[in-house]
Amino acid sequence: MGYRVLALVRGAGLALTALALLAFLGYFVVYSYYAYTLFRFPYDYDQGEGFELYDSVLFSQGEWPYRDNAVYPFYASNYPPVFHLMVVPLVWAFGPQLWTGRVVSFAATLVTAALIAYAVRRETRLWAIPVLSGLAFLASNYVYQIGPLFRSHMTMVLFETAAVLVLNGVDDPRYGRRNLLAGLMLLLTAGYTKPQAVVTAIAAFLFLFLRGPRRALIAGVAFAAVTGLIFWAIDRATAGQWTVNVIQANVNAYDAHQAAELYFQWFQLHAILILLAAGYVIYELFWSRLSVYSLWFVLATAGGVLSGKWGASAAYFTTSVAAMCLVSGLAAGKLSIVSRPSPAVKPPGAVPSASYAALALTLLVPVLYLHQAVRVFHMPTRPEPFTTMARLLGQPTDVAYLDALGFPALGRPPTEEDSAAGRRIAAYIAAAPGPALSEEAGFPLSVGKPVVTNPTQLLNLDKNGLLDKTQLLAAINAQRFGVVVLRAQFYPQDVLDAIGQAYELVEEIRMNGFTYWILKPRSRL
Amino acid sequence: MTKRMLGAVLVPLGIALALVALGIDLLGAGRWGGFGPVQIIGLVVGLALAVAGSILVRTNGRPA
Repeated sequence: MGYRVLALVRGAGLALTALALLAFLGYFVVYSYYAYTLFRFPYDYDQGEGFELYDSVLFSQGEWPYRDNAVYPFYASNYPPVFHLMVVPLVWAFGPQLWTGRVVSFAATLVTAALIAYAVRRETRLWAIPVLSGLAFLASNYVYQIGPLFRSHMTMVLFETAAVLVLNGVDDPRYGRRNLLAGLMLLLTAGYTKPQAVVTAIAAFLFLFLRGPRRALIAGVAFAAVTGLIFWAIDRATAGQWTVNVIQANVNAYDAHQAAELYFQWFQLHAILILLAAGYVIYELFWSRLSVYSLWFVLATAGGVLSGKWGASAAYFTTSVAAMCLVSGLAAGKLSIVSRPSPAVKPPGAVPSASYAALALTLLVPVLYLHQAVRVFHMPTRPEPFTTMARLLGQPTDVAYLDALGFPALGRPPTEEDSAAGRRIAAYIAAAPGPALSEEAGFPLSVGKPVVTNPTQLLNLDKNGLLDKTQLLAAINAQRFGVVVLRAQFYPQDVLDAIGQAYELVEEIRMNGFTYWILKPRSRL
Repeated sequence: MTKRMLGAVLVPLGIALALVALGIDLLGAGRWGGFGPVQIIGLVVGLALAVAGSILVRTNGRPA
């Protein structure tokens, strides 16, 4: 009787594992569909995508995007170059298309998920839990929303994940030195993709210090020297504009309330993975050796504090999401291994009570992943088969997109109506004489017009007293721009005031849930 | 590095973090008049680090 119950429970455990895999595969389908719709959408879906494309365009022409914002076209980038350089070959081949960077970023998330699965597989020798860990990364609302965008963030997460994975083998007697070198190069690449990789660098050097202080110090000095040398070389090549635009412009006001709200949201969405990962860190801290994975999870989570910066978002938690998926996978793997049947426990005979406890774990692990799948719920409700799926899941179908976050700005797949609205805005820019002043670069790029201004960069520089607006204000006052397109009104206030005085609203167009204002020069008698 | 050494680092680090979280209003850096959410997080994390460190200090010389 006892062994029959054990067999039944074990079967239920397998069924629940299959169900959890199915749930996360469902999220993968949703993610792939969202990415597909974005590849087909030719305009900015997230404000700033077009500017990152323009950075790649400038690199493809052999020019730096770190420029003087005081002179026409009043444009500079605030991002390091790696991601934009990766897109350059696609720009050469296909021209300035937003799908190029979206494909690169989407592919980066897939490789990151594969690396997470590989790391968990390498440590646990299991199959289902590594796959669940990788898919859980792609199912996170944060990764889903920004993964297929023309943004550099997820490529940074890829390099961070790869660096941590390689550095985990730094004590390998045969390949230790090679792993150290490769890991540090990946860290450097991550840092020059986006500076937020600094938290992973701190975790890596902390790990190296725990394993060998002398080696860590030597590696640290070499790493700092190479990082500094590259920094100096770019700054010199751009006549100091690199420092102004990437460092000084990123010193923004800090809102602790914003950081606290994002921490709360991050925990709400990923509670199961966070608790599993935290439990694994405690296990390693007291009963085993601290791995680079655990330190990465702790530091990446602490790095969420940076999300209180003006302009920051939940994207700042994606490194933490990657780390938690990996470490929670190790924790779940540990629990699964503990729950395996002992060779000594075989019928006939009394069932040891320890076997019941182990079987409880057999059920617990897939139930935890299933619960996690519910927490990150998100899916479109159209077209079919998503409508039927939503109905089957008891969800409303009167809204186009459902998300555990409520109504986020990102995540809803763009529609044909959005594309039509984008074409209408682009037509204004194409028809206008001279350049356009647009808050999104995707529109002018789509019609072959020059990109003028990067509004958030101008705002950041202005707030830090680093922007000379004389020429920009004069150009607006002289109505040198044939049309102005505003969405979020990110320009500095006096620039917006000048626009209001020299231009008048001719149409409001809705696209992707946002209202775009089209302004044309006021007639002056 | 041993767990004991790690504990010896974590205890003062945790206490320092908790003190900073408690005293940040005195420096005028807090946004709220009362005790803000980031201060609560800082205090909890600081105390947790100090407690974990004090446990590790009592362990043997196993590698961290």
